[in-house]
Amino acid sequence: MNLLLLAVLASGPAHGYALSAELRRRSGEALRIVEGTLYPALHRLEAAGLVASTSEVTDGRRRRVYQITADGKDALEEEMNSWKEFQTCIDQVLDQTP
Amino acid sequence: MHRPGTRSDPVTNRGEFDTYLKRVTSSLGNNRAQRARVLEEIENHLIDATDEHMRRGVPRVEAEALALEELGPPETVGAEFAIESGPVEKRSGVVRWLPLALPIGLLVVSIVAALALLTSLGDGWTVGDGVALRALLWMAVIAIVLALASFLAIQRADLDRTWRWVAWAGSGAVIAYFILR
Repeated sequence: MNLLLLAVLASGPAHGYALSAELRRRSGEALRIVEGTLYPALHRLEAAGLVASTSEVTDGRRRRVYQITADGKDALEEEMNSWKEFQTCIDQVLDQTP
Repeated sequence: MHRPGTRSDPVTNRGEFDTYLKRVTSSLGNNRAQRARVLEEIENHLIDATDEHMRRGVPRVEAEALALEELGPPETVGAEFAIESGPVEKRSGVVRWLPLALPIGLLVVSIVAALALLTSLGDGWTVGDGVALRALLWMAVIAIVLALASFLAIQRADLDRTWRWVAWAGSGAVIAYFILR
């Protein structure tokens, strides 16, 4: 979840619903998370200093907008590398399947 | 006048929305700020999701029900909020604010030197004293400008590390000032 949220936020700031909509769009509607768990995950990322949030008023509603921090960009790069290594391992195993 | 199926319509499932929000926040502690933030975010999500379904032609009542369903069981969401974040390795405060050291040092030196000059003055006030005092006051003004610039750059550096170099530029300017003198 953290990797996906940081990856979407790397494209620009977004509020919670926009984040979940973008996750669905990027996955071709295949990825359906329990959307309510998005917010606790964002709060934990913020507590870890990987995202920062500001409160903004749009369309007459106060919304919390999240953006990735410099530490978040580093964490995203590390997570992406780990994920690619893991993916390579799985691919190697599957490639040897008769 | 309301267009049918827009966000300006009243929420028909207000009671269900409120029950959901109450069940989510029941597992939170007594932190009022956190509770208010969670309520605001979840409620905004419900309104956005309802609008999205209605734009796709789903009637309001069903759109609201779908929005609630997609958020997931309120107890699951509340339990996720209750999970403490693990230990975090953050840039320590000292390292973060280090670029401020030289500009603030320059400010302190200039103020102390100006005060020392003023207290050492006896009866006479020479032209040289005036020039020295003016130079020290200018030094203090420059130090304040550099410190402010570094402070703002340090805050920007939390989002974009390029600003870290700008923050250190204040220290570079102090060093250059003394070398050139």
